[in-house]
Amino acid sequence: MSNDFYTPTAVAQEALDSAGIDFTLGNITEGSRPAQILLRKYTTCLHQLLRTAHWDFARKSAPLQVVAAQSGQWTDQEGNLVSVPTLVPAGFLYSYSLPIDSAKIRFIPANYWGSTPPIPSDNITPFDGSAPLTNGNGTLPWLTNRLIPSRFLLTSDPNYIPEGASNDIPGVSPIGQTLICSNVPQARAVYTFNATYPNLWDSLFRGALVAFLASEVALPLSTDKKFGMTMRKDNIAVAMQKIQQARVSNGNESWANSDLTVDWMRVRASGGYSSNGWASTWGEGPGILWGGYDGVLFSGNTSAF
Amino acid sequence: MATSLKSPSDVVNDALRRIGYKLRVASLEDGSEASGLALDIYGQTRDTMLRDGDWMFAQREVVGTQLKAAPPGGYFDASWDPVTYPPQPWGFSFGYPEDCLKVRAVRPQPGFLIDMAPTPTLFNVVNDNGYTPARRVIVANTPTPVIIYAARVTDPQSWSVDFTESLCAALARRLAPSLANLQVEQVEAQDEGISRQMAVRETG
Repeated sequence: MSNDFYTPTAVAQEALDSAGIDFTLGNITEGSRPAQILLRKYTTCLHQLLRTAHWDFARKSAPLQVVAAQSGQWTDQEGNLVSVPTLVPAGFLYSYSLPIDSAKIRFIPANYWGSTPPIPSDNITPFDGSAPLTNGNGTLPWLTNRLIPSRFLLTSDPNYIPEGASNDIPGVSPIGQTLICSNVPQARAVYTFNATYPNLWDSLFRGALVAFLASEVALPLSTDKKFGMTMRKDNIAVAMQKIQQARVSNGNESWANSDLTVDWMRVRASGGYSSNGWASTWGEGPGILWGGYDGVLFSGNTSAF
Repeated sequence: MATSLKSPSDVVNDALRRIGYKLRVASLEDGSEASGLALDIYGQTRDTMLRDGDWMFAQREVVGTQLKAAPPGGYFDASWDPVTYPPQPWGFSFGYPEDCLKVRAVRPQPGFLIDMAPTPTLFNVVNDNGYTPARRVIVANTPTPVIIYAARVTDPQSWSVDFTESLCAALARRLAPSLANLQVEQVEAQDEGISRQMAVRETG
């Protein structure tokens, strides 16, 4: 069974209500004019919002698929040494493909404790059976140690374009593939994934998405454009407040500590090997907010940085 | 919900009452002045109203009948020929449903019962000159889409009350200059606007 409250249509209906549009939506793909406009905005707003804060519910950690290694050699799932392409952007040892469900890469933990055993034999097989370059599970640090973010770079690389690449997979196109460059072998990524199921979201996220969506559709759907402008402005303000609150809440919920230092700074304090400012020499925070989050530009030249 | 007006002549009589016309029509073919005028505008007014509103009773969903497909991967190995391939730059063309007044949306065949990541599907309605004479087709980049359209629904008993109300008002406005006067037309124009606005609100 399905709970209708946790569907894109229910979210879209809330957005219509918040925008002051007196219309009852049957389904977001039904083809009515409100549905058409909501459908055009829905996924864009969802993806943008996922990037604006380190939402706890959208955090995911998964091993990365290697694309190239400077040494030309790689240890596969079974622990065998296999040959891999060697072209890696300058300054890095390994290139990994972007996780297909990623909205934003938060950080790559430095796994300086060695490599983990191969994936158990009954584990789920990667969807692309022809891809031989899957690496082992990324190394997890000791249970009591925190994750240390390492240097990484997101870049487009024209050297490894899968056959038949088109525009249907995020990060893979006929003119280049988005890769994650890292010096960490058998790397895992901690990232924000495209959490499309509304029952995964926390209430702040849902509220922010409703307001964001409402701000985008208020003007095109209002018969009275003056009213539409007012509703857009109001909903932008609501969305901004919810995003700001979410940034604070997600930081606080990720890092429980009764010390009298400032938590919102501590969660960022998570340096690498270098000694660099307030994120120096391994830092002491968990690195949850490493990398920062994106700003979002609303209609009407307003933004939440 | 079925409407109380059960036939086209009921609808026309409702419109005639709105403009203060004293007589009734027995049918749209009874030969009276009013029925003649109504017959001229009835079908076009009904179709326009069906096309322009988001009337759910008129919505139809059908699986598109594919007519042509572009070569997979593009025209690198075969030059584009309008007789064989769909209009550019589209991947597929589909037959235009006979009772279709407006294509509202095209969406891929469903997988999961509820699509949690809904995205829009581009489409267009074009004349394909690869046929003689040219044929109206729906073009899209999805091979087996569901086509959602507003259909021509002629039976007043299938209409919603809002639609019937809006159609009566629209007919009244169009009949007023001939059967009443321009002042009445203005009043009816207002009436039509209000009933349309209310109908849009209630459509869902």
